[in-house]
Amino acid sequence: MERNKAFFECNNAVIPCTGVLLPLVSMAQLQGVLPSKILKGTGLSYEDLLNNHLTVSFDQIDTTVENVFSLLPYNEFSFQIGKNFFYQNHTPIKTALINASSLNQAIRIISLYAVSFFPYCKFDKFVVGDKTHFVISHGVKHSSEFSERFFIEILISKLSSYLNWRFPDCEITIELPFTKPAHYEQYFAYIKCPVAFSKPLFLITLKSDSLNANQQSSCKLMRQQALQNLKKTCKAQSLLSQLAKLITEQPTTTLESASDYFSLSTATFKRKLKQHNTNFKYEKDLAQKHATLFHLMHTSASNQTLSDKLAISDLTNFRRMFKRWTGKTPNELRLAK
Amino acid sequence: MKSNIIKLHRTLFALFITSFTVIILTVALLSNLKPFDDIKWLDVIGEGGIALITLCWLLVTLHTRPKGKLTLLLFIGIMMVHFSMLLDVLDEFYRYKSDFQWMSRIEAIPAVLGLIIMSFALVYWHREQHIINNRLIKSERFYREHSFYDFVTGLYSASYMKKQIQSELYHFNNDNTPFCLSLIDIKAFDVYLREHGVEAANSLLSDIGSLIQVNIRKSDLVCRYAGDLFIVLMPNTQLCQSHLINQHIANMIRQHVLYLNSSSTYSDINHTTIQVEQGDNVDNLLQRLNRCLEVQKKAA
Repeated sequence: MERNKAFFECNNAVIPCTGVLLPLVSMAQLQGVLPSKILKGTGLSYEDLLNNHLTVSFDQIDTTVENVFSLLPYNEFSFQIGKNFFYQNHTPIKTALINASSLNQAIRIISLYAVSFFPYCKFDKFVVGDKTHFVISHGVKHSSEFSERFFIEILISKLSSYLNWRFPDCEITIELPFTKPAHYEQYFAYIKCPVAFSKPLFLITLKSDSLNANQQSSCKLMRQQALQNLKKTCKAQSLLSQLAKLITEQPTTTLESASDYFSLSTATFKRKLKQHNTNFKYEKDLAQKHATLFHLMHTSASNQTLSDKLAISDLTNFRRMFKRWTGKTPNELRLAK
Repeated sequence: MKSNIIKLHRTLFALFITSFTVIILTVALLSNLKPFDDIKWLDVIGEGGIALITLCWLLVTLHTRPKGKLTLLLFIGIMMVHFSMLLDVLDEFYRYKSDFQWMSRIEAIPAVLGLIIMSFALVYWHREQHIINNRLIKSERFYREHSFYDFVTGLYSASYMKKQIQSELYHFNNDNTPFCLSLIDIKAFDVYLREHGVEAANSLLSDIGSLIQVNIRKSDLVCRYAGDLFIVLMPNTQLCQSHLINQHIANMIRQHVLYLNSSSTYSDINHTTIQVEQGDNVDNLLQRLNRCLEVQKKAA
């Protein structure tokens, strides 16, 4: 199937300001910080934010996040932004999601209109037995660890409040790839499902049955109307999301073939990746590491099967590569599991 | 208040501008300009800098304080110090006429008077701080750190509470003084947020924070834990006592009416309390508290 190759980069203003930027600025303002200080270095002014249709770049949002946290280090903005998303915004994506007939449909809407919902993370779906897993990673750019945690917190808070409201019977578990933070109480207050820290992957797991459970109060007409409106919005995926998909589908992808895929010269492609604080080798390792780690932790796949998936013929090479990613051999990690 | 600073202190601003103008005109009338070469620029920088700094103090005082006796005393005190410094700077540009040489000898007097007035202001400040401390007693203990402040409820946040628990644990480990922790959760807060919006939900949080503050003892401390959760530290308290206090808070919150545009609503809370045990640290105390609330909510 021919895939849409349109992509956006970290400095392209395609992300609606209503999702993160606007609530972040208004919350910081409520705490007494001047908008000029919040927006410093973004090239945006407070007057720009008065335009409800304003779209901004990831870099502008990331700078705002850094500004806010340097001025107000103790806050729970990430969780509040996630929680209030469905209560404060009257956007087509919200209407479409609260009127989705099932979780499966909601997930389809989310993946199709990621820019409108949450472009900061990308996810890969895996079905194992009666469970469905979503491995989630950075969506647009490698930013600071602190900034990536901020976006993760928004996402899990958003999902938790959505599921709690629209699918209260759906039980999910969340595994996070960082150690338990000092503000653990915020996870307890906002996330209504079990959260485990210090895990190798950012993983959300739920029973596959719950994906098909019908949402009784959904309205088909309102959903279709919202989807019509969403069609007018940006459907492009980020450069890194597209690249990760390409590597997952074709494990033998090289820098040259990836550049060809995006119709860019190798030098331009390398430069663009550098702007995203990454390089091709790192992205390839990351995409393969996520898939391999997931299968190793959650399935009974053998080393041979896993190395075949990565198109590595030699098991010794596979073990060496795995140790480079995780610091442990596959067997050591299986035992730790 | 900030946008109305000039309106709020218009009398003081008028007094300052008038006095400032009178001083400049008086000096200009009673003296002659010095030749440019006679001006000592190092003195101008030093004395001018002090005058500028005292002017900043004056503006900050008016910017941060409401009207009142203490504000007036601080204002007059700083203004007089500023005028002394101003006369000092002007001295560098003007030379008094022979009949008015005494002017240069009295330029330090306003500063002395100003410092005396500011000393009186300090006494009033001490009294005012005493009153404020009394009002803050249930939301602040021995330590002030504005970065932990939560603007929605006017209480300190969980980070502040963790520091206080750490200090209570020290007393518990050394003197065996027990203490209790309570966690209070607003029932159906999400529904309220959905139905009434973020502003009304923030008002509810603020109201409930105040209600808890009013209904705990002077020795207790309430902080906003996270989201719709409040945490209360009860030093030197047995578990049965803390249960009673929690129950009392719950009763008072149940009676509290929230007036919305066309309706009034009542709130209810889930609450739990635990007592410190040997070997506890801040982390496991809070985890135990979280678990107890989970159990309590499920049971409810």
